[in-house]
Amino acid sequence: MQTNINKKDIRIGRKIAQIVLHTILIVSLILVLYPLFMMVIGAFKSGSVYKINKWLPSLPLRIDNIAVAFNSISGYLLNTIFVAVMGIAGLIVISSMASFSMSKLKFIGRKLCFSMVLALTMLPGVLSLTPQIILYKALGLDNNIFALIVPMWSGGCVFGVFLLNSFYAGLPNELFEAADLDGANSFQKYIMIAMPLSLPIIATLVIMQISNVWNDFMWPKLILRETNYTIAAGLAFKFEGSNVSQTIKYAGYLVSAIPVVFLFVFFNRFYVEGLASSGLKL
Amino acid sequence: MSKIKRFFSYISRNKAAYLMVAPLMIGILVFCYYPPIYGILLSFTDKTARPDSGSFIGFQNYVAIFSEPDFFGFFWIMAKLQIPRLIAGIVVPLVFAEIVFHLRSTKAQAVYRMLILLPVVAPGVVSTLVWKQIYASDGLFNEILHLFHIIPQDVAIKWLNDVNYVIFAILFMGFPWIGGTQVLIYLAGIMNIPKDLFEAADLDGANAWQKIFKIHIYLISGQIRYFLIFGIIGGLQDYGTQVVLTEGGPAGATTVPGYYMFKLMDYYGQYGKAAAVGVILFVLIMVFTVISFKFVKFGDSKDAD
Repeated sequence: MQTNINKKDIRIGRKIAQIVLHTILIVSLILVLYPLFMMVIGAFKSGSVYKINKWLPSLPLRIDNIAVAFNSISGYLLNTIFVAVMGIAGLIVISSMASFSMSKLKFIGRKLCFSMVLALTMLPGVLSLTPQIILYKALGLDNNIFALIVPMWSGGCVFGVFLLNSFYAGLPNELFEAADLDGANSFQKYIMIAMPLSLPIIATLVIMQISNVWNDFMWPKLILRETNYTIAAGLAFKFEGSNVSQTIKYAGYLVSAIPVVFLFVFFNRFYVEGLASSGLKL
Repeated sequence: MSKIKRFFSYISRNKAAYLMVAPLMIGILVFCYYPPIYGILLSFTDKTARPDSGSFIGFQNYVAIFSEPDFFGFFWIMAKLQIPRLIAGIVVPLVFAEIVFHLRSTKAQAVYRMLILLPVVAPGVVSTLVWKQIYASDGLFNEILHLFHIIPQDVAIKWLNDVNYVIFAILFMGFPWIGGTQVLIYLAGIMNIPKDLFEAADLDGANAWQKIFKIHIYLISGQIRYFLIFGIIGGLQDYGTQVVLTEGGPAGATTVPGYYMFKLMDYYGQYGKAAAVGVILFVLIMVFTVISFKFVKFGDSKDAD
């Protein structure tokens, strides 16, 4: 009898504990997500409604805001898409090719190459920032959108090499021995066997890089002028100071966030893997 | 002669391998290895945006920086901004990871994990700009304080333009600082802990708290150390909020060394002096990195990997 009551107590206690945990999570999530929610509702308000009701949803929805905002930031969006496509395409080719070579082909200096890539993860950006500006200007990339693409083709590859190298190293050698018998050369082995197998890792890389391009405002601000800005710099340093109402600004923020949020919703698995793998090098 | 010949024949036999690493190696040599070396040299010159500048001036940049009356104050401001951020960035995500881990329903776990990530996904600049509105004098923050009568109705604090409040305002941004990425990494660590360890703990009669403090913290110490080291390295060079929101102000109240460097580059074009600030920060980062790798050891991280 005694034990029965105890068991019941424990069960009720556990239920209460679960309710407490859920409550903490829900309240915290509301606090964290409210600013984004505020942006979404603000984006659909008219100027006069916003003056009296800033923080709660209201009708009617002003869809017009979105079109107005889109017109003023579409240039930045196009720049961002151009940088993302060009930068990521090069980054994937350069880093997967190099990773395959360093992990599956034997040549003198492969260890040195890999350590040189690895060492860059420990090199802080502050030391390089000023000289990079001078270097890019000397190369004629001042106010040139390729000043955002070239870094992705060089330093941007480091993390890609890091991920892909360990993946290719884990592929069994038997996979390639069959191709050897068929007379395939190293490049064919890379293109026909290794590269297709690594597509999930590459997808993760693509997602992470898109969000990097979308978020970066410091380098664009330093090396470009306004018309060439990508979306984050355009929002923070041009659109924000422009003479439009706050509701239009919210609409602009919303438009700029939608593509990355969609990416997250539809490619959640790759996204999560990408975020988690950034903590792998423990 | 034959040695050189043999060298070239080796290269040509393995030319595929070399060709495949070449684009990467050339790229990082030019754009990642050359700049820091050049940066150190640059810090000893008077290089500005003008083409005829760049002559060697010895330690003059360093002397000028260290005799700047505010320079050490920048580090104090950095400490006020980064130490609370660092602690919150390590502890709060751990708390949330434990909360999600202890949920019974795996379905709920999946939903919360997704929702926790949502703020990470939205561009950081967007969140920063929305918080700027929250802190406006007619913004949400003042309105809530009015609502609960914490400040009088006729008082409207300009959170980002008031020397007394700006540090607090920047720190409070993103409250309660869940940090989706970190939660995810902690969670992955906790879920990787072998089940038999918990069964052993259960047999010993350990309760949930004991399990968290005796097993979890010990076995995810690798993750904690990672966040600590990279938090310090990142914190020393962080000035993004200043560029977007405060421009180091009001009255220099948020000027950290990194932002001082940014201003020297972007506003004044004093590249030599900016490079010298970069070198000073670099040395500091290296010192912190060595110290943290040497002395920060929580238990044995072999099991955590």
